[in-house]
Amino acid sequence: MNSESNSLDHQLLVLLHAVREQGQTGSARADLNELLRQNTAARAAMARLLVEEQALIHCLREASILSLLAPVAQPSVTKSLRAQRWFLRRPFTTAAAGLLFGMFCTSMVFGYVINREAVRKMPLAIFDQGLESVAQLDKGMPHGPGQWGVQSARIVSAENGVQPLQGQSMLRMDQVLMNQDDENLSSKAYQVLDLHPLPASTVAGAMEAQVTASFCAPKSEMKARYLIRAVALNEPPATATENFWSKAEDAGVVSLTQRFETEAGDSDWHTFSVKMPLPHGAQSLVIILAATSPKDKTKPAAVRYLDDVQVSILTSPSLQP
Amino acid sequence: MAPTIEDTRFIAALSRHQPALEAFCHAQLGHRQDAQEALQATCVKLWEKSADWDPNTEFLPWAFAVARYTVLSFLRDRMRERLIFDDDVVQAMAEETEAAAEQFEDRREALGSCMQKLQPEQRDLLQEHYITGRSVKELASATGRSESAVKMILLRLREQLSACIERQLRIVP
Repeated sequence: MNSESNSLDHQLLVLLHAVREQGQTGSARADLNELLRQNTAARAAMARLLVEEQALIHCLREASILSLLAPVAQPSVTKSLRAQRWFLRRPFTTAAAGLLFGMFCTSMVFGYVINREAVRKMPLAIFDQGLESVAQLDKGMPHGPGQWGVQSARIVSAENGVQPLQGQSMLRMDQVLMNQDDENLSSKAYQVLDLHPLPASTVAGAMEAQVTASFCAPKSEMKARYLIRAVALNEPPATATENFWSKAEDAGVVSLTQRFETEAGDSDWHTFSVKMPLPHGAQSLVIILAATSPKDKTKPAAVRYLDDVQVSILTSPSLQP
Repeated sequence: MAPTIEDTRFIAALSRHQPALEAFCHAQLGHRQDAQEALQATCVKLWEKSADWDPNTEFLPWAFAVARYTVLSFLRDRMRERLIFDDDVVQAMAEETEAAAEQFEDRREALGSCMQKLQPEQRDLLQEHYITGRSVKELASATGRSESAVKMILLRLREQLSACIERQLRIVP
């Protein structure tokens, strides 16, 4: 969306809100209807915004039903995500939840279950995906789940003309240029994720892990190079990062590395994504996000930024065993 | 009487597309309760006309056509005080609404990811406003903020989520 459509969205949301608050008595209703009569783009935007509103109601309603069915669930991000997975995997309880929607016949309730089974993407709980936490970051590989580990990186707010993609903060990745005889080091961020909440049958089936992250480089004469790596391990997160690099090189470990590049002078945020099949019995997923250093050691060190990291488990009828 | 194969196929298609139909009704009427009433009326109408649907054709375009008719009937019968859009605007928006509602499932999925980025108090505010139905005035009183501050927070949250949905949809799955 460009700034023009953002401004139209804003105008429509303000008018819609005013109509709902004022009812028929205010002038907002006439203004809104007149705008929609005259402007095709406004009609399309209004339709989209209201469909998104319905999606919002849908998501909030699901969360509300979950809290009724699982009163012990706390409102933390992690727990709500786990509850969401739980919701997807228990059709009978889901059917009970469907009853709360006031569907008009039992077939509708059954149908709701069918619909939930078609969900293709299950977000995995990732600690501080927006890199907003002011807590100390682990140096190097993190010792367990629920924390970021970094190498030559720190959390900052807007700087160098770069605004965080979301929220107030982002990760600044300082590239490390070593001496002539040493290899350059990349700035990295690591996190280990617990796959244990996934039902064993799910992990054993045909599933993929998708890692998505957004990177940005301030205006520079150099190309920016990034790397996303995912490593699935058959051991719990508490021990997954012990001797990690030797395990990661093991031929039996499923691992995927993908490199990305943006042009010199490009200072926009870019979102990159990798997908990797999850092997049978995987208990942990280690993700590594890096801004790689230039091979040419005469180039000056550059700064890159990382924000909005997401991990999902993908499943679809075509992926089912 | 046991349902026929045709009944089963119809019910499966209706169940699968019911969220998109609800989104269509919501986008045509702009009001949650009205949308739910219109959806129920649409489902009843679809069931009555189920014999007209050819299972070898797409369900949603046929269902949207029935929903359009039902929404217009609903508007004619409804007391005027709660309506957001005039009849002619509803009709003018119908095509755009169908196009948007067809994408409902993709947008809902994207929104699911976007909502994880919200703070718990932001989610609570949305929950209170959109599900519990508390007005801006009530929320302002409950949270000790001014009405304009609550209105602005809700507006920014909607814009933030909308931008996030667009970003999510650009990511190749």
